[in-house]
Amino acid sequence: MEIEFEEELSSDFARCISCGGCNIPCPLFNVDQIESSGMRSRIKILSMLSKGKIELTEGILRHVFTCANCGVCNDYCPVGLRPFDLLVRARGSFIDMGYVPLVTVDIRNSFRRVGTPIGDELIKGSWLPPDFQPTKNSETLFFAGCWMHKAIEVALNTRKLLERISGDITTIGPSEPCSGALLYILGEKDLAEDSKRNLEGMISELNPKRIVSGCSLTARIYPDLGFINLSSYILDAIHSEKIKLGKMKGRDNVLPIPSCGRDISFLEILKSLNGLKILEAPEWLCCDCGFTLIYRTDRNIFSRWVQKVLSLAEELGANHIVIEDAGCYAMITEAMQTKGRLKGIKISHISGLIMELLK
Amino acid sequence: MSGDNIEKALEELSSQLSGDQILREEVDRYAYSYDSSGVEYVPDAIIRPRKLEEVSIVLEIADKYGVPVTPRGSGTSLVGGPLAVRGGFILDMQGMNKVIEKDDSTGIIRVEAGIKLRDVNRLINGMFLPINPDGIGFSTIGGMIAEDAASPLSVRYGTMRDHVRGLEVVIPGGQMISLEQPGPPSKRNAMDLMIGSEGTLGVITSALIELSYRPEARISYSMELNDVSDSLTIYDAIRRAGIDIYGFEVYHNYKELIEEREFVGVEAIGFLEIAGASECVEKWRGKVEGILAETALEHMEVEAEEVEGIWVRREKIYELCKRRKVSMRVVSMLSYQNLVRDIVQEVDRTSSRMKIPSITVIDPPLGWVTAIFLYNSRDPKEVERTERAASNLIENATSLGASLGFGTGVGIYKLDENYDEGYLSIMKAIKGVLDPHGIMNPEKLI
Repeated sequence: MEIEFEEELSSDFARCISCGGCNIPCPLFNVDQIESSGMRSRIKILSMLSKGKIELTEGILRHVFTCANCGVCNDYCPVGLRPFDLLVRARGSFIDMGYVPLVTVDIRNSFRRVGTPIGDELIKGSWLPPDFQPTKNSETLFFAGCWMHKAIEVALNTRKLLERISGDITTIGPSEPCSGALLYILGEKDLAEDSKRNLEGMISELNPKRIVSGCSLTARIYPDLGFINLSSYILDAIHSEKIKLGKMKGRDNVLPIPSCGRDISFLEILKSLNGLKILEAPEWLCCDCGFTLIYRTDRNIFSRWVQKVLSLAEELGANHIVIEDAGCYAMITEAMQTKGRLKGIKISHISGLIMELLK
Repeated sequence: MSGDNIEKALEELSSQLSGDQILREEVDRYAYSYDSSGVEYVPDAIIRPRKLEEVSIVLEIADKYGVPVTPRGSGTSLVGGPLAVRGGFILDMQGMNKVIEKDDSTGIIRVEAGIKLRDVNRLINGMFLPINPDGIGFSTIGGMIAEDAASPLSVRYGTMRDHVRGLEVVIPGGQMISLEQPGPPSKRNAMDLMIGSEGTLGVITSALIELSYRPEARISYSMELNDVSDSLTIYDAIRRAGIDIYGFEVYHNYKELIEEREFVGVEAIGFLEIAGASECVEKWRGKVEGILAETALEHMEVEAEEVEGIWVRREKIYELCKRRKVSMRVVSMLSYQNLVRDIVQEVDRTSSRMKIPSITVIDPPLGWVTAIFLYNSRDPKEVERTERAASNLIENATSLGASLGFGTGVGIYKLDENYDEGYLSIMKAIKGVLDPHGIMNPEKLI
């Protein structure tokens, strides 16, 4: 099948100079350095497609839709193409043209059936009291995000932590909708827009003063929502001495896994803690809900990425991995069927670590 | 190339390598069909060796069936070096990226060919490999050796050849050869034959490299020149004063295109950097000021915080491409210093004849001239004019006395009979012996 993209999109593909800069921070490329795993191959193949040099097949469609969705490559393109944004536009174009990739079917179906892209079995709000009711006009509304509902221990820690920081906190509860951010980056603009509008409607009814997001992807993809990243909120609480933290027992060498929005607050928090040595993470190391696609459709590559992270941790002498995003924590611990430790390396979500250190 | 032979070779290979080391899916084949040259050739399969012995197996089997083998690093070549012009196998060396040994006291490292420059530069604190052909450190060491890569610091540090102390290679048939002498390499060595041979004789699998110390202090200057040749006067005066140059690069048509206005009387702008021990650099500062004041139209010392960015000037050209939505076609040439100006004028003439704007980057001390044509890749007529501009320039510049491919290799543009006949006939004879079935990177260089 020959594909005709809109003029501006084709012109942007053609501007790729194939330097490979976008492969440098690409998590999938860095798993095993296979060119076809990396971002450059997606843009180049789209460019070949738009020039009519190759034809569209299911394999190519799958390739274009399969990536870690971290978006870090946007900052690595010397000609300013913002490769990830370009990919999202191309995905949207395919869907507008009626090409539905098989690889995203499960995610779309889950979303349509149960309102979340992360899987059908999710029951939201099980970390809240059975009689929980959201309160209106609160100081802070906590938007947990789908993965936080799944990682119950993370949700419980985060809730306790937020209550310590702000006495007046609420959340939407079991009816909390997905923000649609993952669907948006998978090109499902209409579904994503509906979901986002639904969320905005609920928030507007509750009328909180501020919203803290447990889903890093939402804060990254929808800056217009004005959500505060959980890490920024925690850091602010540390700076304003709303919470006081003690010293780590022993000395931990920490490998941080930031969320892909690279909010510097996460590293700032870790640096502010006593008794931690923070190891320098390479540019490809980040993870958030964007990884859900490979987690759900290609568990093999996700597991190899986790193994790569563990090898790196061993190489750097880390004895503790601290993860910023709840989705990342949930996916890693679920894929490795473990909680707490992997190959002798302790694994924590940032909320859990802070709760351990709270005086 | 017979498809039967490829299938037979792959069948034999699959009994010796694991399944994930052989890629044949259409997406994989398309993903290995390009580099940074803008040209594409789709290979039949991609083989990903993890160790020396596996490279040997691949070259033994490929040779037996006459299947072309094209070694590939990161695919950053500007001239199609790692493209499978005749199909066959791409040998993806990126899986061989280990550090075999390193000596922090001497800066000598032994690394596999697929390691990336950015990883090499993190190995020993205070030391680096001062060749950065792509500006982002994504190139592999094997690719850099195969192309004898150069970069703006080559005026001080030479090309890749000057940093290699030993090589391990595999030739068609699978023979593994160590090109490393017991002591430091003497003038009589076979290593230099492999360096710059663009993967046409064999596969580089690992290398012994000597890193350099990062200079303690650096001072950078920008300048406006009335004449490209003035850069040579400046270079000569600085050397005469015994001052160590770290890098010197001159851009013609740069300011006009970047800032989109005419600069009357300014033929070029230059960036110069001196480097050494802090006290030396401090002492040289006044002398350099004097030299620049005498020859350059204008000059200024670059602010300390901008010094690191001085050798990423080419990124400005990328920004220009972004703003104007154009692509680049690069022609790299080397000539004698006294011919540099003629070559630059030839680029200008070609550019205006073909109505394709260009920026010319010159490393005056080396005589290295890189023409960068900027064109709209969506316009087939402009693409054709750009290709004609490049081939006309190559023809005219070589007749003026330029050689091709310095720092980048020649790749698919090949050398023809009119150019360096002696080199061509010797290389063909050597290739006939080392690669009698012509499987190594066919349609390249020779």
